[in-house]
Amino acid sequence: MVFEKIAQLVADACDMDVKEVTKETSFEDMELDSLDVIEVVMAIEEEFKINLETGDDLKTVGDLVKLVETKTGA
Amino acid sequence: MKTHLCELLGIRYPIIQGGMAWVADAALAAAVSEGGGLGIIAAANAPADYVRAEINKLRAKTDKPFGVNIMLISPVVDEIVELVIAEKVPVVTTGAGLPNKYVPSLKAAGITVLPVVSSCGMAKMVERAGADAVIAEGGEAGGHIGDLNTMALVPQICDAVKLPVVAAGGIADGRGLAAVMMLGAVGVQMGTRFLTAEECSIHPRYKEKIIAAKDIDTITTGKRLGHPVRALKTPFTRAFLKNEGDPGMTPEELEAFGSGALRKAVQEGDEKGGCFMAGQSCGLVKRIQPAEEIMRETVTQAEDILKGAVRWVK
Repeated sequence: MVFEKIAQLVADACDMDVKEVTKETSFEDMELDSLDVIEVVMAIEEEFKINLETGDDLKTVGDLVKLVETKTGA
Repeated sequence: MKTHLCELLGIRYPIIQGGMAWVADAALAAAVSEGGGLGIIAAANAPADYVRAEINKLRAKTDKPFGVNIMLISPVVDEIVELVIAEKVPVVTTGAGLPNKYVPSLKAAGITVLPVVSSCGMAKMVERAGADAVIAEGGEAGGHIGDLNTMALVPQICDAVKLPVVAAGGIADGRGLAAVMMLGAVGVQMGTRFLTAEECSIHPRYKEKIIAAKDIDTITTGKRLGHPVRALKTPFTRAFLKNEGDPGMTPEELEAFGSGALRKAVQEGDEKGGCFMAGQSCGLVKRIQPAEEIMRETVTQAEDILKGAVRWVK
């Protein structure tokens, strides 16, 4: 569930089909720079009602999923 | 002129000197602080021992407030954070990312924290983490830069956060200071203008090149690597751009090509191999003068302009 929600937010951020997003997809491959990643992180925070307090050390969608799962205890 | 920034930092002029790597040493920072602005020592990639020595040198010259710029992708960033806390440095500015994980310990040590930001998202993130103000830096600036320009970035950041906003990028005189105050800023950070401060210890050839530079004499390299850098057009930056356009060059090869080029410019004035980082405001920089005079001139000019601006509203 966490992955699906995050995949959708990431797909929205770069106008791609959500089906193309996997855990291995890297932000670099999607041409998302560090500022774009911050926007994605903020959208995720809103969706899950959590504070991630990060944004710099994330490389892939899987990193985001792991972080959110840790924060939400999912 | 007295703004919220003057009160926040305990300074006379609302001017912060940019944390320019290899350039912003104790000599320049002490002159700026002693002259009434906020001098900054750039930690860049330097080891903690070097930064500690610079802090001591500065303190031998002035007892005024000063800051250290922490470059967040430095390999020794954790040690630098420990050092500024141990040394009770009054102010920290940060560059190259989000400083959030360090903000609580810096704040607990009584340090005023001003992250450099290049988007509203970044500004909101650091506000939430407890930063005291933000430095909104537009792409006109020299060195590592963001995409948005100062004119568009500053008012949007002023809307996005409640924190005081310091404007940077493209500002080199009182007109720039007055203009960004109209956009909502409470002060400026200037880098390029301080390159030609008398107390700035860069190679004399670097200063000559800045003074000779015109409006169109800077160029942005490194976009392909994801961290664009603005510097003067020189044989080095032209060669870098050419290599950047060559698909045969790997990112690692490109990084290696650029490595050490800033040091060559600063220490050796190497006109062929040096990377002379500079902002688009270089065409406004006309002469070598003491740091105090640079700030006094800037503030006096801004005051005159702001007083005169009332004539537009009748």
